[in-house]
Amino acid sequence: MSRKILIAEDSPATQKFISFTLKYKGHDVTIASDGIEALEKLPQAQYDLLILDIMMPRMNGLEVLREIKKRPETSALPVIMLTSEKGEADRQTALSLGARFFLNKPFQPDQLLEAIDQVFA
Amino acid sequence: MTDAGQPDLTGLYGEFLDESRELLDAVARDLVLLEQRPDDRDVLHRVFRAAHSLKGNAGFMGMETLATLAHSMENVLGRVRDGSLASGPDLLDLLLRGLDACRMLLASAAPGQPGGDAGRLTAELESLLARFEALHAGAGEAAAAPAAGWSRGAPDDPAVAAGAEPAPADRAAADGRRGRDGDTIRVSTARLDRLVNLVGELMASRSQLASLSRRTHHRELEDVAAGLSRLADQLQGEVLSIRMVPIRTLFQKFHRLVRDTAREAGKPVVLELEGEATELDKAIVEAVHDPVVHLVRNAIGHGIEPAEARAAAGKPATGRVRLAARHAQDHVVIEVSDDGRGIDEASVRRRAAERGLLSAADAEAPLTPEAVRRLIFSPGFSTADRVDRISGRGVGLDVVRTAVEGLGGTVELATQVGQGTTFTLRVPLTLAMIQIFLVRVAGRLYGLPLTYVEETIRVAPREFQIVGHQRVHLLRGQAIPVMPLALPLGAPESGALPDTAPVPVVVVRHGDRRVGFLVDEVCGKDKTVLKALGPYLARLPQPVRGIAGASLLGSGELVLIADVLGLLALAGDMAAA
Repeated sequence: MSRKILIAEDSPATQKFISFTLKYKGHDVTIASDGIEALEKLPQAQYDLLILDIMMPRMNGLEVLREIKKRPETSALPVIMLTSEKGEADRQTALSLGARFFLNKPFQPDQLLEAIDQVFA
Repeated sequence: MTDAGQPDLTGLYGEFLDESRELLDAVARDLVLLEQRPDDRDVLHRVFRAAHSLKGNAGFMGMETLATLAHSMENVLGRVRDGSLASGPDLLDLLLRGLDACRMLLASAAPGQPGGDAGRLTAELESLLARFEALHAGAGEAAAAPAAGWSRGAPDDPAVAAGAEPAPADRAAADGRRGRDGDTIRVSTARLDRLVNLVGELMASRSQLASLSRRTHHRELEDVAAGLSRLADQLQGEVLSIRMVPIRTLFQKFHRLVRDTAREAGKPVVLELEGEATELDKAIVEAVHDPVVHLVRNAIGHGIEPAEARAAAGKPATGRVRLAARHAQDHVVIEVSDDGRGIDEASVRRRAAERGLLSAADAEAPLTPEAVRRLIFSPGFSTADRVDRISGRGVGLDVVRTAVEGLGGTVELATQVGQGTTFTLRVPLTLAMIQIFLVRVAGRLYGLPLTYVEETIRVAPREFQIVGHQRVHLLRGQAIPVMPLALPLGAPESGALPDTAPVPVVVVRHGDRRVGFLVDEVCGKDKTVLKALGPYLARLPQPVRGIAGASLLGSGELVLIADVLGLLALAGDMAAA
């Protein structure tokens, strides 16, 4: 089933990697290159999912998550946090802010697709 | 496809490689910036994020060693960011060496496909990783200082010797213009060159059509020809502009080079950049890289005085090296200047005498500035007998001169004792097109690259004077040797010169050397695509002398492009004979 997905990620290569994988599965993909852009784009469409990188310029993923959870219109939006293997502290913070899905970088396309399946299971 | 239902992402591998190289360049720039502005939080955050992204990219590419190295650097930067580790020159040195190691790991990656970098864990990497780990675990900056027995960038390490610049191919890839969302594509320069060539041919056909339409007085045909002309001109402009890149791509690399060289020389030096947005052909940017590196190293090694000497001379302790670029007509001028001690005429004379470039008698009298220039750029002058890490090893300024002249450019020198030195490189905007000055000799058309043409004058041959066996002409008080252009070209000379009727003389200049060439006719300027002589060579009745290539003009006429430096040398030999 096709979903509308927003990707917040600053690395153009990783953006392409993710969007390529998702488009291949027929999803509708929009890209934001940092946290502020993500918050600007969220109200512009009805997204089914946000894939959120933690380390980004201008506003990082944790701040974005905090903001999303605060806003009633987005507080229920499912979010997959992109974390790094060693980023235990960030994961704890994200958990406390209400994040439920995590994906460690680097990941393979099938791991990304599995994570999405889990979100919508 | 890797397996059913899986997209094939190997095509994205190049994106990760490119991005990683860009990240390394950005980190290198920011680390140098950080040394100057240690309290700049924005820069610190940026460096930290870039190291993090590099780690992520390495992971996606399956380069585990690179990921580990980037991770350990990220950890160290994390400590600097949270204030628990003070940044300093030794730490920055170590981080910059980490970047070099990253670059080498990236270079080891197989082009086009993920392969990993296993087995590349050299002693250097082990040592770097251990040091980063120690710093992460809580050691202070002292741990970053070079330990006994630990070689600091061995000069014979190719990566170090090359100033840790990526290989030209890597550079080419990293400099490619890339958009964020895939709205740009990369095209090989070979394809661009073919395009430029084709447009050149199109321009030739266009001119043929234009002259045909004029001859036949066909009104409609003339309109069509004019329209085609306009389009062809635009097309040519567009195609040539694809090859243009801002010189920033070159200049930015010098932050790191100046920093490292200055630190090694123990002299405080700042780099100033000007005109970074100046655009020129990518091939030229690449070709001037080595000469400019050489001049900058020279400026720091020989030009800038040690801090104490500067203080004694009443100058600011910190030396200044300036790189500037600007457009001047159809050329780009690149200046490399320093505010150092300048070049002292007496020591040039002494050195030249030592090297046997000047006879004992000539070494008695002061040299003219032109003679100083000639000596400095002559082979053998600066061939150091000791290996000098900073200003190169036995490589003299003659190499710089040869490289720049090879591009159809020139190098000039201005120096003032105690004030500093400026080297001025003048190079063409593009290698794809050259501007030529057309002359006719013995019925054949020749093109002289415009760079070298100073002026044309008309002189009645009886006004020439004879000095020795040589005709000379007094031009504004300076005696210029004059000879028929046919002579060095080996073309048949057109009969006896008239005595009173003025004949055209093209004054060609290179450095301090000027020669006036007598020609039958001056036919104006043109732009053309230079072709190697190969296919045309066979048509020439004489052995090729003083000819660099050939080109087809719009009229369909073949023009031979003169190799002016070769001509000047031939003219010199003939005058001496």
